[in-house]
Amino acid sequence: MMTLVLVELEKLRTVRSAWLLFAAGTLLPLPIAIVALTQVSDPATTVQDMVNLSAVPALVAGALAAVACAREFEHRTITVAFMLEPRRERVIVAKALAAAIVGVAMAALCCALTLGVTAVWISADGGGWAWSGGETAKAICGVLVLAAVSAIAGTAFGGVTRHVGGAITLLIAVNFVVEGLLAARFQVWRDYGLDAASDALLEPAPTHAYTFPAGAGVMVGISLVYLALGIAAVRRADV
Amino acid sequence: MLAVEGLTKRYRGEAVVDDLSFSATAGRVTGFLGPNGAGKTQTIKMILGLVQPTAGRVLIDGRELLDHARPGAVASGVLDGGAFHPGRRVLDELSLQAFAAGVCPDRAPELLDRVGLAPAARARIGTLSLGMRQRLALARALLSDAPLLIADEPANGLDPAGMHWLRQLLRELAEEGKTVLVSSHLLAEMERFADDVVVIAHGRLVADGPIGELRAVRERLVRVRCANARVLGARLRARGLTIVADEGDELVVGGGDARTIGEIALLAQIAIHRLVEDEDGLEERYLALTAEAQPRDAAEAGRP
Repeated sequence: MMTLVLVELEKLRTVRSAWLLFAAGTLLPLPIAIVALTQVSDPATTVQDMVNLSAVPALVAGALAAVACAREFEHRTITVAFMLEPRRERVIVAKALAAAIVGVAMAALCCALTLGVTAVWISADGGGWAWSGGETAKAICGVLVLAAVSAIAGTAFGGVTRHVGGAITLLIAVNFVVEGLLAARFQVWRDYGLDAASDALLEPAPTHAYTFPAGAGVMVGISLVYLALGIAAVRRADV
Repeated sequence: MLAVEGLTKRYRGEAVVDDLSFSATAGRVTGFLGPNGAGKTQTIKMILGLVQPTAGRVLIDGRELLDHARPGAVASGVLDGGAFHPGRRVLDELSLQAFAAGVCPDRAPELLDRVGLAPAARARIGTLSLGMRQRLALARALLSDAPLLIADEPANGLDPAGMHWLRQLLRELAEEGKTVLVSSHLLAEMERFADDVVVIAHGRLVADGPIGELRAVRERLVRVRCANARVLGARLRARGLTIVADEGDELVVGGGDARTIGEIALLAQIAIHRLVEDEDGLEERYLALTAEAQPRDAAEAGRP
């Protein structure tokens, strides 16, 4: 499995589109953060806003994973991967792990840049960091978990659709449209749905329906369900 | 050694490969022939485990692919000549696949040299011609040094020099002891380097054996142009030969070779202007075989 993961990482390293998405996910939140910092109205919420912004790479990680997986089917290069390793579930799991590693790296870099700039800005303004060290570490861990689960889900969507456009559409539909509809329709989903779980990861200060570990468990669990669906779709498919 | 046993693939009840059985032997090049849409690619994909057969099985050295400890080291294939990420560099692609196959990375530049792509090592694959991609696909398939090599229409996009190179390469691989199965819809191309042929049409086997056998069963045709075609025609008929076509001063003769016809003309003192054994005989045989075959459903529907 380690070799398969390294192969998938190498595949990502040797194509430009992966680097472009990596750069976008890492750097895009930075100018937005700077603009937001210049217009701070409530210093108490600044750190939370910046953490939320640092979660942008999680979405980009999902897109990167979906593109990487679906494009292998579109370019038919997946046949080469399946000839070398006919146990297809291993290939898809390796893809998900590789995408998760890249997603976590992207989120970590983004956090470092965004929160670093925020810290400098706040101290230059003479303000104080609103959170304790533990809360900050918890929120950063939450961002990293979100990036990893989003990448796993993206790989799964790539496997289900086997089409880049379809995978991205599914990713957006599941994360925003379906989640939004369920939350609007059912109070229980508002309290215990995926948004509630991700809030528990990103917002250490308020009290949530989920604890941090429970929120992480829900997000990891749902991404594994998606991955199982992706594997089932790919195992049955003629390529 | 490759053994295909009763392989069948149906899509929505329609058979694209129908109870197909054949074998390919180590040390020989086996041509896999059939017209477009005959089911060659589906068969190859089933052999390589990319398409699940509806029925039947494929044995490689007596075992199914998944029963081998390292399936990727047992069989390799050249499919979809253009199946590469266009943004990746040529050498990166081979190094990546070498790593995936667990072989020494030094083999990548060595194979690029073997397939004549060393000057393009730093090029992005998207900039390569179809012929160069075919060469790269072959290099990729050769990385794992698998004893079974399957190539689906590897000559697509190759220029005459490339075709010559491909024939030599496949012969060399067979001489190294590998089992080589090469599909094509062009008989003339296959005739030049295959030892055995498997011919399919409508997903069904229509001929299987050494290419010499297919050649032997053809009806030999000879074209002869002469000063007196009417008299020569009569003499040939008298010797039991058949006049397949009479085109004025030219006859198409069956049932004898050029030497026999020349000798009959000499005895009749008729000047011969042209005497050619029809090179298309094997192709006609192939066309007849594939045209005769019908899908099983159609054949069954036609029965009383």
